[in-house]
Amino acid sequence: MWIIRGLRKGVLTSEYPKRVSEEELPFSFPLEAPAECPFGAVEDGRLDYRKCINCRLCNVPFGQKTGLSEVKNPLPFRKSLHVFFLDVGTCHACNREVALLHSPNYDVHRLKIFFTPTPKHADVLLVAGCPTDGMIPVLKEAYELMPEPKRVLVLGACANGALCGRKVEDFVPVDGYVPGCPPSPVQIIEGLLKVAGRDVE
Amino acid sequence: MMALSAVFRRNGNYLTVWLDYDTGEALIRKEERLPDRKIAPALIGETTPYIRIPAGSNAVPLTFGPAAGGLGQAGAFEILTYGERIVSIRPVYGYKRRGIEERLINRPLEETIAVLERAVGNFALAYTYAFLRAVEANPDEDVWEVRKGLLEIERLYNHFNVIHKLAGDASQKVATMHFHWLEEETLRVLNRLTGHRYGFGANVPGGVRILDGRAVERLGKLKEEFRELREELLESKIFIDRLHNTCRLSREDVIELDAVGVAARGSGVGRDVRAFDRFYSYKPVTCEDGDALARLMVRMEEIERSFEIIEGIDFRALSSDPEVREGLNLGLAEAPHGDVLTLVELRDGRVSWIGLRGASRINYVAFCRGITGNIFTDFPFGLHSFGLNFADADLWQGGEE
Ligand code: SF4
Ligand code: SF4
Repeated sequence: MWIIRGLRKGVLTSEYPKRVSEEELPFSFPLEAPAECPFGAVEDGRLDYRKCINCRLCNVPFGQKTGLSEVKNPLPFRKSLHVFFLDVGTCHACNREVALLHSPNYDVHRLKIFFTPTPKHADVLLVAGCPTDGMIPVLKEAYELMPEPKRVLVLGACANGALCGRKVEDFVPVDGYVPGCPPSPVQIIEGLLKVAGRDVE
Repeated sequence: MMALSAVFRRNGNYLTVWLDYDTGEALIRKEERLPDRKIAPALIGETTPYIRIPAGSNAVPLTFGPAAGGLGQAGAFEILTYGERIVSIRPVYGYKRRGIEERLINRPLEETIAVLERAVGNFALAYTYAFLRAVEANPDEDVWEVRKGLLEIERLYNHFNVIHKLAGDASQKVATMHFHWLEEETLRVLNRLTGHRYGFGANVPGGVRILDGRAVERLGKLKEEFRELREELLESKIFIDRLHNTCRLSREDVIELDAVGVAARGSGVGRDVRAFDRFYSYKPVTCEDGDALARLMVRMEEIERSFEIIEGIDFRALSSDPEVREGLNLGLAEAPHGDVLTLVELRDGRVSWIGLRGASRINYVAFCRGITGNIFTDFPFGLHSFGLNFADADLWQGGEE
């Protein structure tokens, strides 16, 4: 019965990174830099997407955006990527978006991205949330436990200091950012592929 | 009978909120001492003191979380076990305390709402519903129809998430995938509808921001899919067996622990804010058995009800100009897991003090009661059947004590 259902539904999976469908992206990114931002995302007339919480309170047009993630130094290999996800103080929406990477809509295994339950087997530490007192030691320890070479990818506005003042890069070295509040699954995939040095065009 | 719903600290005293779920009557009291209810310590952020190991016993204490153990979020449990059986357990609160309550204070209301949405993202539409119920003095009926519809869509995707997790725990691989798919598709509907996958920015002071009201038409197809999936999942004997009798909470437990939401309703106690919310006409769904299966059945039925409510609503962008209510006011909403409470003090149109209480703060304690005496392999089934999270459990209060 279940097998028949699986077949009947046909292809559900995203074609990203070959193609990104409009369905897969939120409409809440500012398309221009606003004059001011109550959450500190605008400085000297420049919009820092890493700090934008997508609240749509500023007076500019909003829409869909890709290509926002920045990765400074990709890993020197392009095969499979092992990721350890760590929540250091999220609102839980980022956790849901990360979990949805395993849904049939995104199925990250097709891209050879695997999540591991321990930092000891991870190439990438994927961190979301504003670091709380209780989680700062855990964050540092997880980083220490990872084998070399390792990279830290930061997820979401509040991990970049947008809401609580603290940011992840105050506690561990950071190699890349995925903006959004929360970043949608395809935006997270984009960041992960960039860390793996893979083509996202 | 009144349930103790929340406890905050104010001016050296305790500020308590008591709720009668039959009538909707709420009492806000100033008390010098912590009320003598089992749940009271958890409501101010402490959970029951760690269990003493019985003399001569070989039970071992262990901690589950905050990073290890597969909880997938910053939270933990302390467990006392003989290896197989859970002898005693308590939630550890505080890992998610990120001071977001302070960011709600003394700013334009639309900014306060934007921050509140990011307090608990997957219950954002419930928290903003509760908050706006507290602050709008003469609410516009049409605006609230749409807010109610949004709250029901939030319930849909969260209920789908719970079923996805339960099916996954029972290794029902295809079912878990399909329910995950339903969750994602519902988020996409919300994205089309409001411009944001979790509906952030949809509830604004006096109004609702809707981009494309026709997006909800797509829920019709999801309803059909859901019905077929439910049928097939409930036919699986392996799945049902894993939930049956697991993490049982009695009616007496619910009353004693002031449990709320799906956890209460699954044990035959019809606590549901929608039963007395003026914008609803709703009779709570209950199930008597108190186990993980009962909570699942409550959710299955509530999904049907949510679809029904949503179908009757004309989703469109609306604005109104209600007066804001100054002083201390209470707002409630029935979130997917249970009720969320906002106690808001407004001065000159801005929040000067706020208390927040998520259902998770109470219901993690109820979960611990239910799972005590069960074996370890029941843990994920019990936990996931409650649908809680620690971001919700760790919220408390902001502004001057
Ligand atoms: S945080 Fe909000 S106000 Fe600031 S730039 Fe982003 S959308 Fe605009
Ligand atoms: S970035 Fe936004 S969505 Fe993600 S955890 Fe922080 S507040 Fe929540």
